[in-house]
Amino acid sequence: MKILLPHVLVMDPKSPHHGQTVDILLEDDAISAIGSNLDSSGAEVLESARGRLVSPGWIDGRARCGEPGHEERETYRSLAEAAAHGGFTHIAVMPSTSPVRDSRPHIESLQQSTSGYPVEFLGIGSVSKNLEGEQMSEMLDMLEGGAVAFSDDHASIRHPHLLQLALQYAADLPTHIQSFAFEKQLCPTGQAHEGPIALSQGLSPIPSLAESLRIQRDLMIHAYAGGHLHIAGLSTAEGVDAVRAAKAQGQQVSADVAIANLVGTEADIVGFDTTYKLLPPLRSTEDQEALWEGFMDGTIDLVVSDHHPMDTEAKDCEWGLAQFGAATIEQAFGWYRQVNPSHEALERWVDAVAHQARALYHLGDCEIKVGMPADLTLFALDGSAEGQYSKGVNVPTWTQNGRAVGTILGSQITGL
Amino acid sequence: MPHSAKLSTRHLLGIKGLSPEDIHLVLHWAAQFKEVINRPIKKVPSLRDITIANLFFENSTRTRLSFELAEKRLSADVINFAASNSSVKKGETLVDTVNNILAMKVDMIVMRHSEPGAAEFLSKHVDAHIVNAGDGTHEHPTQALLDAFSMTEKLGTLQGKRIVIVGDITHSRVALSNIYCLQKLGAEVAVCGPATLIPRHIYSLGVQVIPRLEDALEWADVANMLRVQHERMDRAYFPSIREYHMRYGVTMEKLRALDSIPLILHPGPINRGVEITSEVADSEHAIILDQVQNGVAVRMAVLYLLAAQGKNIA
Repeated sequence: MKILLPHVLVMDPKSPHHGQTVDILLEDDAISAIGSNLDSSGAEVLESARGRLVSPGWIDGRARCGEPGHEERETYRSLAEAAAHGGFTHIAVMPSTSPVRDSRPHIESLQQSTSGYPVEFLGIGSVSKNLEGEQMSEMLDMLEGGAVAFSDDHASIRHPHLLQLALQYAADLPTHIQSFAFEKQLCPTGQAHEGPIALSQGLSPIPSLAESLRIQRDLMIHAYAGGHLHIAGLSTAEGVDAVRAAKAQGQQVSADVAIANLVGTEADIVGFDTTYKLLPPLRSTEDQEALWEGFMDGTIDLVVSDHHPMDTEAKDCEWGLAQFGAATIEQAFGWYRQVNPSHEALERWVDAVAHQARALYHLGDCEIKVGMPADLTLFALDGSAEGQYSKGVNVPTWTQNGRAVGTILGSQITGL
Repeated sequence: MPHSAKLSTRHLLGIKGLSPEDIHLVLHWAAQFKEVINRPIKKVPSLRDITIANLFFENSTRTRLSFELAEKRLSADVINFAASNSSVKKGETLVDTVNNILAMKVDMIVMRHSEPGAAEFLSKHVDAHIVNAGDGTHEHPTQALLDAFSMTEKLGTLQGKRIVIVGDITHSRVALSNIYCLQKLGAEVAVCGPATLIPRHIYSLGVQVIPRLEDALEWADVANMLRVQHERMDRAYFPSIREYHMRYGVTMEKLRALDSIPLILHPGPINRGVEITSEVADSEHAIILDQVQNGVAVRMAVLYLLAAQGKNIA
């Protein structure tokens, strides 16, 4: 099957065609030619791609699916459709399902259930059995079964010895250990970022210290144990500083930020709209600025959706009873562009979701270059995502300025 | 104050959303109703044909009684609901519970709830007027209004007056509502208490912190003593009741050492010998029982003014 993308603008800092408007010919699930006025004979011409931007397919480094256990919140099918709508060709899904994805059969089941979808699911296995923070999961077995990384998600890795052992055990494997840096013991009833807004709403605070204290612990354990530590979901200026310092020391550490923390602040929770009840919480504008600075200078490697779809019952209730999380996978790019419409930020987005994410998950190179896989995202710098495929009711209403137009993964085409 | 004046809001969710004019209007009507409840015949027909449901999802004695009495003095029909014998325990949501009650043609809801924002949440889902009778650690607006009313009875205008709130600021809904209310009336507000029970960002409310009780009492025209909220603490925020009393309990000895003794308020229920000694509580400086009586008058004013928005009320 031959497919021609006519007159598309290449947005890929790694590509020799970066910044050029070209035709791209796809053949046998790979890029076979790039140039001007390519011969379209025998090819299906995707006219809806004309004039759009194109980059290597985007990878969402961290998302959650309701299935298995909470299919009313999201199924594999609805998540795949939502991810494609958001421009992603791959999504890494967290192990915090019911049952927990903590063994090889669970990883294989994920892959079998999602094979043939236009979006590839990357399974993240749990660090500890059943997310209990005690016994290590069979990480090697899961890795051989297709897992890409390990995390205890919001259960966090409470016990310092478990983090040490997990880092040491996985050190020689092509993977990493993700740590959600959140010291819950400091704020067991925490409901919102400790600041003027939480105070004026009478909400139990989550101090920045809950993040920075745990990051410092994790970094010290990592300096001792080695391996690859990934700090998931930075939300504070102090956290960014700590990761920056560790990287300067040469530690093999990476980090990500959730799109919500780049876009929103504590001001969004005024009026108790539980859509904005998130973990990590939306923090101050100073934190938001520090996150942007850290993202732009590479201290923070990735931006992720941190997609966490919820059903009505989980969100349409009193603040203290509502679940943490927002459904964010479809609008992430538009929100990002609205906050920072600069060209530098656009290039950084592609670098993060196309290249840094592939490096983090050991997926191999993918560039807009002849011979590379047909794994592409087409997008526009205006408009907003129309419609919704996620089952989540908890989609923030921030303004969008840009949208994904379609994806191509092998012979699977969405949106075009 | 023109008799036709109306509140700017159809619910009383908190003091934060009220204008100074709203507060003055409530205080004006509270004075009228205080006169009413001191007559031989204490009842007026103002809310005849209005049905009010008192929904108490959290235990309360004095606030519930005060509201109920206020409603009955205004001739409203009253139904009471407590979570302990309700379907809430069977898993029904707040909105479902309230809509079931509203289906029985209820006009106003008075609600006490353990979750901050519960009253605001409810106001977005139901048509009835909502009166927040305390939502977790957020607000308790009628308490702040009755405190302000009690202070003005003794001191006149609160413009420029100095008021210190003493004790557990972190876990108190009274503190937040008091701060908003007193500031809107022109008073200067400070807080005093153990650093573990003072929110870190309290300065963002324009409130100063006076660490020593003796300094706070010297500074203040009024001291509002809060109850230590043991039930809302996930651990001990101070070593012992004894030590708390030593540092933050008001005693006659501490009062006698002052140049001038402030007016002492307490929202109740009092832990005698903790925040305040019996000697102080029962002294001429304390107006704790005035507050209780004023609570009924202020709540009558609030209910009357909210109901007056929808209907022509005598």
